Amino acid sequence: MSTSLASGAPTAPKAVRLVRAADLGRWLDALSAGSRVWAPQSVGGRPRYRELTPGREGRLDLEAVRTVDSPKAALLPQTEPLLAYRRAKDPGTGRPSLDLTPVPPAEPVVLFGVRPCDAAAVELLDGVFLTGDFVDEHYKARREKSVIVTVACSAPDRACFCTSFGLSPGSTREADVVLYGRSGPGPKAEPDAYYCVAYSDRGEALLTSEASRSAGVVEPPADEGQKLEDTVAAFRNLPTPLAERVGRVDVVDKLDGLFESPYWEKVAARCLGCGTCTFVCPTCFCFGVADCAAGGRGVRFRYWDSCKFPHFLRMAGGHDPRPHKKHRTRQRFMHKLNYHYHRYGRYLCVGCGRCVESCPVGLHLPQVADEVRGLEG
Amino acid sequence: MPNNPTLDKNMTETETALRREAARLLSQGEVAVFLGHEEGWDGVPVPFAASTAAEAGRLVWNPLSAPHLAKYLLDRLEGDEKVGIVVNGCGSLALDRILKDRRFPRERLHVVGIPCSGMLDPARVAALSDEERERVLKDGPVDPGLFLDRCSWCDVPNPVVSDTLLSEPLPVVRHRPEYPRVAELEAMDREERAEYLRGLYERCIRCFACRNVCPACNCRECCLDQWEPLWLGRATSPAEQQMFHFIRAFDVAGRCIRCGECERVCSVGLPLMELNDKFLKDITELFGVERPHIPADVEPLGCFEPGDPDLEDHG
Amino acid sequence: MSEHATARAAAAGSCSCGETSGLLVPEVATILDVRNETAAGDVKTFRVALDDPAAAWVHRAGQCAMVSVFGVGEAMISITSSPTRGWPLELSIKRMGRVTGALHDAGPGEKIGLRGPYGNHFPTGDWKGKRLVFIAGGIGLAPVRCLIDYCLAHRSDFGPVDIIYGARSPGDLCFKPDIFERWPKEKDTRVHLTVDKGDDEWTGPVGFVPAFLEELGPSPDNAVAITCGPPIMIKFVLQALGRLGYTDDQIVTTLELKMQCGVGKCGRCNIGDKYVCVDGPVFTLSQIKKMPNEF
Repeated sequence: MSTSLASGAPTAPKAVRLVRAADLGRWLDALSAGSRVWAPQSVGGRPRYRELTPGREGRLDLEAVRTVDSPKAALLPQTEPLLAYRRAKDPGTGRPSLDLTPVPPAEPVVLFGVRPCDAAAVELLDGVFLTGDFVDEHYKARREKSVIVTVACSAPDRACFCTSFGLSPGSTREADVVLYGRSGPGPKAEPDAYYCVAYSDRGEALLTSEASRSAGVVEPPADEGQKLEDTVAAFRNLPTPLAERVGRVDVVDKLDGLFESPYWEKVAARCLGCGTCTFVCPTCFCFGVADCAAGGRGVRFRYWDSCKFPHFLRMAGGHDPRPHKKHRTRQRFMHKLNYHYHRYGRYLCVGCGRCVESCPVGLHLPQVADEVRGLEG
Repeated sequence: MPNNPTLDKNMTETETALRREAARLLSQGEVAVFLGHEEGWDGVPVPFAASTAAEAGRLVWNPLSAPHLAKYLLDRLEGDEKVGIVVNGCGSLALDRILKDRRFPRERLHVVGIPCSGMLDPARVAALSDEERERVLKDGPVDPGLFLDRCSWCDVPNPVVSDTLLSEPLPVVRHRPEYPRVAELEAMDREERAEYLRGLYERCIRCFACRNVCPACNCRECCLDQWEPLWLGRATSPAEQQMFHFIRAFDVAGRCIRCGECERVCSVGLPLMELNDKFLKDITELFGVERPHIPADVEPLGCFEPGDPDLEDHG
Repeated sequence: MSEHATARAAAAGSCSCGETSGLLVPEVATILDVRNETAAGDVKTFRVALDDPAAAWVHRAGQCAMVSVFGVGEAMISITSSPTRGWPLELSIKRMGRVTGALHDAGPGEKIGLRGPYGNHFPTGDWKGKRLVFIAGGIGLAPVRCLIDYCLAHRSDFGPVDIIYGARSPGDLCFKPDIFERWPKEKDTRVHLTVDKGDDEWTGPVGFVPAFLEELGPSPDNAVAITCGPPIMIKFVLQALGRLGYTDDQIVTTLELKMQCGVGKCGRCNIGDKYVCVDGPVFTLSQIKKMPNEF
């Protein structure tokens, strides 16, 4: 985990290994022995990012450009128990009692095959949950026991725009290990092997473990040093198609004056009001807290909520500061491109392209970011 | 009997006529806003509300104008301004659903209708190579598998609601709907089906896109959003998601227009129409309604008959 | 954010039990007694204490606590009792929704959850020697009561105190022992009461709070106005204060928004780039005017 949110420069490799594509399954099996392992998988015909569970539907899909859902669920589960409670009444005295039981400690988790943009999104989540006057212990416990194994992108597709936010298909941000296809990036890249480069102590420990070694994660040939450097550079310098159109996104100042712009009416007129964009987004972190009760027992949990949902801000008594779709749509884009920047010094977007791909009506952040540049105000 | 969808060769002329008509309605003040499509960033038409004659020039009508627009009327319930809207055959069923459910006043509408012989599925077209896509969109021929599912059995090429028609009505060949996807569901035994559905709903991310796009999901306040009573727990689990999709399927049963928009917008690819098709098939078999997806003034699940045979069974 | 909240955050992080406790996990508390504030019974004051006295925290005037009814949910409630009184705390709560309804249904002895203290506090340190004008309506007196008692406990730090308070009817006036007996006896302290609509026994002024305020016309010289109440009252009180010559920096109020975590994580209660839970609830009017109008 980085200590500085502003650190973007690649750190020096701590260890370098090589793994054949054919050995990836074996390696994942080996990692599963000591950790829960999440990985991109094909489920029901769609690439999903989920925990590898023996017996559950799903096939490893390391070369999917992007999974429908982001890896954030491994660190901020869509539903996360916070405590269990039990209410009772003493049969003799009638006196009520309340017992609260904390949830079990977090288990180690390997986030395997994460895309560089999604790893960079973890840095933004860290900013929210680990900085400020309060630290979120539930998130922190998971985060501290996580190892992120990124796979550099061979072929960013037409929804990719990570470079608009200063990232790249070979970004190492928040990655403990990065896998680079040995054949380098390219539209039809099906690497027969991956260079595995550790950038943190945790990554080094994972790469050099006996489990990894015995699964075929080996020292690369000694004469491939230059080739590795060239490959890494090729991934880092790879352009992303949508960023060619959007350019560098830096609209915080522009948006300062656009809260009242009629533009938001236009955006809202297209929005369906569903929560797809927020739930597939690797950086959207808003949550709600609720109880699941059965008699006197129950669990308090948090769950992903969406600023696009009509009940998000409705208060007891009925007052709602954002009663219309216009307010809720504006909130999402302003949060990502203005409010979060003012609060944390960062845009709340990594250019993963999920909103581009998944929005049912093609209403997505890069278009909005581009259009606001041309607005008056 | 399946339909053979084709692409209308005169879409460019229709698009010109649409822009002209929308511009006329807006500039003459007949409508305050016109709901249509404009070209999205990737070239695919996306919903668009034009509010000036100049904006009407951005309207598009092409083989990918798939999204229905009637649901957006619910965003415009406040006020009394007139709203223009463009619909093709199936789009008019969505509109009629909202009208038959009395969720938007007909007198506030000006409906521009376009007879339609078929629309392509934008996702299927997006998956083609660049050259192939260009060929398909230019002059065909088009693989029938590229059309929207609903085109394969559509027998409503002409809008059932319209004030202006932009081209001549197309000939209509009625046919009895078939529900091939239901057979598999019906063939499963109870345990198999429970396991199958559990597997499906476990994949749901609860984004509510299916509900929000559905013209039959037009309640003032959705029970799935309510806190009191809490119909749908906020915790994700296959059981909760099953509750979500069952509530929705039962709620739209008898009112589903079989547009399949729910399936089209599902980002995780759930075959949501299977259950809807099952209900449609049941309505045909139980109530003798041949085309249960067509909104009607009297619908089997929306009326009471004193002579209902079930009444005798239940005293 | 106060040093107390920071200390609590640090303490929670250093939990040595090996299990994940956490930010959103409350302490168990007991309702000691319940007092009806209004004739209609829609506002009640709950005296609560933590079951583990070692977990007790010290709040500052204006801060809030998250109150849990397990099986129902959590709600952010302003602390009504002054920090100078310590524990047990008093929470005055109007029946509004699910959680507040469940609290109203709970009696003495009932177990609830409590976590806090959250939010900023009234900047009393900046008010040394100033004349204080408190303006509240209905249940809006709850957070202000905490502040009034704090200021009266440090009476020599402040100038004259005026408390202007109104409610819909005499029966809706909260904290009757304070407004009728305790506060008027304090040195250099005046309590001005009004009701929207009187009854057979009411002999005091009748009228809305903003008009009453303008009638009283407290001078803005070396003064601070603190106002809390229903949004519509606040709106007109702010206009009245402007006409009386108060600058935006002299006017302090509190904002309320739906909250889930109370600690700036859940992304719920933002107004622009400010979170009401950690940056508020106390804001000066000049701060509020810089925010988007979305609350």
